Amino acid sequence: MHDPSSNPSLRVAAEADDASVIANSCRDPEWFSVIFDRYFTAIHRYAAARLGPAAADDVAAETFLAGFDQRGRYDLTRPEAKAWLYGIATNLIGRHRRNELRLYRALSRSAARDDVESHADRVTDRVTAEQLSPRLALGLKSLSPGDRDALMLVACAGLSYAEVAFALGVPIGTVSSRLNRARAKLRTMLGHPAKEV
Amino acid sequence: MEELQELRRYHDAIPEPAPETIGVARSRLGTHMHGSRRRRARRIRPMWALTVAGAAATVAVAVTVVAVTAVPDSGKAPQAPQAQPPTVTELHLRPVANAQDVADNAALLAGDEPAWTAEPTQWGYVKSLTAQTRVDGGRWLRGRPKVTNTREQWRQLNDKAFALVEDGELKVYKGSEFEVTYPYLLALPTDPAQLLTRIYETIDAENAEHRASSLESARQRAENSGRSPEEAQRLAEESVPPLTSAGRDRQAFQTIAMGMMDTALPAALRAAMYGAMAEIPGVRYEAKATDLLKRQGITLYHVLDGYLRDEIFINPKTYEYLGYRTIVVKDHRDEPFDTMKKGEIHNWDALVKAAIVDKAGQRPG
Repeated sequence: MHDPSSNPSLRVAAEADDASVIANSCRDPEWFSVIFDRYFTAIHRYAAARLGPAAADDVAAETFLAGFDQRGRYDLTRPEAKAWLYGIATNLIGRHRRNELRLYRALSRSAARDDVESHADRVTDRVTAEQLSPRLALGLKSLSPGDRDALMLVACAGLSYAEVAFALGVPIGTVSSRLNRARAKLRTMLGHPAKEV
Repeated sequence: MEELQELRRYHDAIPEPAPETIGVARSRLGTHMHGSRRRRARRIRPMWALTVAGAAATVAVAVTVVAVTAVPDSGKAPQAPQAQPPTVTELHLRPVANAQDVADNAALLAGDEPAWTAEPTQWGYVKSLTAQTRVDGGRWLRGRPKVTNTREQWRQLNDKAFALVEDGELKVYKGSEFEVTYPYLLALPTDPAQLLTRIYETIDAENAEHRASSLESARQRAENSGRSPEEAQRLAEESVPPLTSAGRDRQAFQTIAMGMMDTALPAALRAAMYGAMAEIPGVRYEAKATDLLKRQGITLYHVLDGYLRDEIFINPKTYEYLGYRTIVVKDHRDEPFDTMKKGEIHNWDALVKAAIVDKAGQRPG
């Protein structure tokens, strides 16, 4: 059904790094759709992990609109646009903080449900929350926004400390201390020993 | 590390967005890319620069030719425009057989116009029509468009401000966002050959500057990814090929066309611009054409690499500029985008009205 060779981004992938594509998009806007094709799914998944699927649709779409508007300021010495886009997405997620907290609250409740709640609700929640324990969800909710951003960028998006620093516009030392704080708090809530951190 | 792993598993297990979600987001981006209200000045023209460069054609209504009738008169010997200046009441234009004739006749008519007296603080008013040639990255227009958009625009002749009507209100913006500015145009020589020389000088200077900065950033990227300086230089050279001669000619054609589409100009300058176009290698003339407003016209056109034709429409009687179109004339693979198909129309603009006025927001009477 899907022929990979018909996908422009796959054809380009072998030749042009993100920086070249973004440089081209400053002359020919159409090029920016290559960036969309390369990263939309990843950005959407990250946003969904933090906001749930519905809000993720908006945030992921808006990430690329904002990226398009800011492409003229992209640092062309960075071949990969990944950290840049995650930074934009994280910024937008910050505007949906209440959604994020609501999601974690919902996830944290899912195991505590009893028979009073409808079966359908439980199935839905279980599917969403399959991989996240209620206590971890509760822990995420308790983190400060900056600490949570750093943690989610490392844990979910798989960015390096240096990439997180770039994405959030903070020094690398700040990233490291935010992460330590976040993990210490989670471990306390999860009942793990905190001394490793 | 358990909490990090658990978060990662949770994240990775989230399903991919539905195809409809991707489609909606993609189309929002498409609309955003094409619909940005303010057209930014850009240093380099892509082949479809004119879509982005905006607005449409113009002709100075304030200096419109009157009392001149073109008499198609193929029986008589062609008159040399320089040798025999036209009179106001009677003028015999020689039949047009090529692009050069178009320019000559335009020059002949222009010689008869009142002198250009516009002040730098006055405004060039343009009302134009743009065809919708594509919606959200879908199929390109073929044939005549169903949807057209009318736009009004004022540009101060000193390039210090421009104004648009947005949501029914006049908005005045400081500065310029135009690639080919009034001060540049009004300082062009009115001899076609000299004008063309100036256009090529501009293009070469811009391209040299752009190529130098592209090479430098390509070289830095290559070095950052661990290449030797020599290899980085070689890769950079390969990724930023120099402009071809045909590409350079195309830019000259587009620069001149952009100068006409968005401006109210003295007829003599416009005639020289036609003349310069006629001297660009590969520029041809076609006698029968119908523009966006279904007006009969003639065209000057340039075909890039055998597949993409840019053309301007000209009124065959007054030699006023009528509009602009980009049309695919042969199938062409255009990586990384879709294949261009013969018959697709990528841009189509028409000039409705143009004049010099005293204030932004003022319309010619």
